[in-house]
Amino acid sequence: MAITATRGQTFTRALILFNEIILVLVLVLLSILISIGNPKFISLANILNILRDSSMAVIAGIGMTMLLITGEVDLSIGSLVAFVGVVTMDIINKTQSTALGVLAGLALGALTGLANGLVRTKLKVNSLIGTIAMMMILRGGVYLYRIAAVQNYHQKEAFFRIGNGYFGFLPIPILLMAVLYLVFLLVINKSLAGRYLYATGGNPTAARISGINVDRLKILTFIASSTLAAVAGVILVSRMNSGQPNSGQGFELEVISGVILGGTSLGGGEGTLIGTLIGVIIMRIINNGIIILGWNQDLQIVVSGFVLIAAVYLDNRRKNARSKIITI
Amino acid sequence: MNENNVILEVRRITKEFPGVKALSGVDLSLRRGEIQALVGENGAGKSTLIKILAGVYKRDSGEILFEGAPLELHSAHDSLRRGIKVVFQELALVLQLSVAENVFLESFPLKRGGAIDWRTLNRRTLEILGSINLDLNPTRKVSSLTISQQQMVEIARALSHEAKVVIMDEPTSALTPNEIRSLFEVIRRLKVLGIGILYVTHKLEEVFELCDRVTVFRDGQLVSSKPVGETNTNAVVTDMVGRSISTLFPRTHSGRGETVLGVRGLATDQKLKGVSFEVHAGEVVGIFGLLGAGRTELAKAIFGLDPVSAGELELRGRKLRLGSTSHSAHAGLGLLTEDRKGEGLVLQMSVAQNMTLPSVREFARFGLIRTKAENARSQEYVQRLAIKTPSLRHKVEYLSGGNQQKVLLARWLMKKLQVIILDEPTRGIDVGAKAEIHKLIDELAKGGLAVIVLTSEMPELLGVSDRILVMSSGRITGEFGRTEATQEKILAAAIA
Repeated sequence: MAITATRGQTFTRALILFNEIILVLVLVLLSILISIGNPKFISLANILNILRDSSMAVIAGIGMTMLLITGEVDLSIGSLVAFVGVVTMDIINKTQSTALGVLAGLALGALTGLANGLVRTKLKVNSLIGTIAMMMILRGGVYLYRIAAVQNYHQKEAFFRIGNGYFGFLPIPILLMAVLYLVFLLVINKSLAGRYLYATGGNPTAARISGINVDRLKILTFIASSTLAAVAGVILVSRMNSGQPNSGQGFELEVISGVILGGTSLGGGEGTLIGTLIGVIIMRIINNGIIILGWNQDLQIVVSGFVLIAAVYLDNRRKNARSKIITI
Repeated sequence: MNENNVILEVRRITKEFPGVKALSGVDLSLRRGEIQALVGENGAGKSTLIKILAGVYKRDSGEILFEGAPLELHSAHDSLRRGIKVVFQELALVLQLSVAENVFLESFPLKRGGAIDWRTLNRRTLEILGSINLDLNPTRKVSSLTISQQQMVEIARALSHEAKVVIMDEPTSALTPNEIRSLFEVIRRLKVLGIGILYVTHKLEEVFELCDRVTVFRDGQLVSSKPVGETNTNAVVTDMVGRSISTLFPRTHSGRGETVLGVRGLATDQKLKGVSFEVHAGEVVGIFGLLGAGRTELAKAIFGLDPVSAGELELRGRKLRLGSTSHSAHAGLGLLTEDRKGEGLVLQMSVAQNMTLPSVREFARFGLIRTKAENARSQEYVQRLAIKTPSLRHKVEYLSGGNQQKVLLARWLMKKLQVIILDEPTRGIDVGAKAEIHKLIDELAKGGLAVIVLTSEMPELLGVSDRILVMSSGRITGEFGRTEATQEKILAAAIA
């Protein structure tokens, strides 16, 4: 049966086939519009600034992409980022060792991921609910741990450099992001683990029949995702130079919006890291643009809300268009 | 015969699904107060017909006359409004509501102003229940009733709509003998009330106990329709089976090696009630069962997809861990599921990626997949099985059913297996691809595998199997060698 391609269908079909290209066009268009408002936007300093600000969401977005590919989600990363920051700063204060502090922060991330994974696979609690619960537990937990911000009493140079230093002209957070990005690009696209992620999210029963230990894979993905979020938490605490228990609010939504905007499906089985990178940066550019154009900063949250709706809407359009293609 | 007595008449009804002619030119008439049995093998067309009468499917051509006037149905609600009530196996009740609320679900008696008139509702429900000699409290929650009582509520719902035709789809499949007796009483009450009843069943003894007329379907056509007094069980079975095509499926190899898989007393909470059998190397064991006999449940229990409540499995003399799919897969079990899209394919992935899913490990070095090796191997199987696909990278979603099934078979051919379980390997597949798949089954056995084929298609069963096991109600009720098996014997065991 032939399908008469109306304009709407052509658009959604293009969304499927050229998702990344469309995203790049959106990114370029946004940049041009903002530059017209304020030419400073396109300066190298501002571009590096945007990338450095994006690095945390991109790093956490790598984990979120993998989780969404397996059909799960993690809403606890915003609270985790705050907790990691407070713990890292506190431990460095106490031990005078940056390495121990960072290690403690990453370990907290890994443990949180393990807990999320066990709640999902052993207690069979839907990850949307399970990680909202974890979000509450961690946020309450960090307030119980320290009600006020943990200040920097150690003045370690290494700690300061994580978020603020440079490698040549390249800010260290961008370098960290690039390294992690390339490693996980390999994992997702070329490794057995990556193949299993897609299979598990695409059809869990088929994955199980093929001998994939779906529960173990999901637990490991939760751990990887939370540990990556903890890396973002370490960068953030270094940039803020204090461990703030109320930081990271809404971080999880910024990350998820970017990832979905990048074409990763909420239904599992689909998603690319390229899309995530562009999606997260688009979110950042919108936020940066609002500042650089001198608009009211509270608009950032409002606009992010609209973008999230748009991202999910596009995800639905993609799914619909796909089911229509089958009937050809 | 008094023409006025005919309440429902179906003329030259045809219905086609992609690749299958489900009904071709069926004529059928039902009289007031008549209980007419519809029998036939799975896929004969009974379900399609009742779904058309229920307004679920639209017919391609032909007409339906109801009380002498043409009937056009646009939805399931339509048919109920016109007086045709279908009681499906999956009951359509709202479990959280009361008996009375369910009986009058579509038409609550209202007070002036729109509030529900509870007293009238409960009184009229009581009247309806009384008219079929049923003692149930109208205010009881439906979720607290047994399946059999829930069925009665569905029938009462038909009466609340003053239904003139009631269609029942295998109503006794989940009932105990006592419950069946009371169901029959209710059906006989319906008959006295002048309601015409179409009774779909697999159990022939019910036909002769309950029904006035028996109508046999085969391959989408009505083969015979006779008063029960003018026929007998043997004649009906012959009509159901009809053809002899045992030569269609060449089973070239039938050597029997050592025991590969031993199943002992396998039981699940729901369906299986202690199944034991053995499969040998190079042997194809066909397992037959009608709908609801527990075939698919057996396949899933063996593979570990469903939890097992009792029994044990042995693979080449070594105990197999139960309930662990990854363990089964690594031990060398393969499972081709009945539900191709829901449980077999990963639709978002490519043809090659679907083929190699269980064996992709073999193409990996240091955890990274060597795509070249993977593609070379996949290409080999695309050619060997003549899979029609534009490329290896094509999404498997866009292939035809037959080609998708071949991709799944390739998946298991690529891997070194001990046992392969094939659940309905040719369901929904055109005749050409069917024959190719049967040839592959033969090859698999020749390669020394223990092959289990679960099927509800009689010709397939007789064609591919070295040995046939018959299941009914979660048990094995018959075992036949290739030479002694006949369609009649198998069917007799399946409806036992």
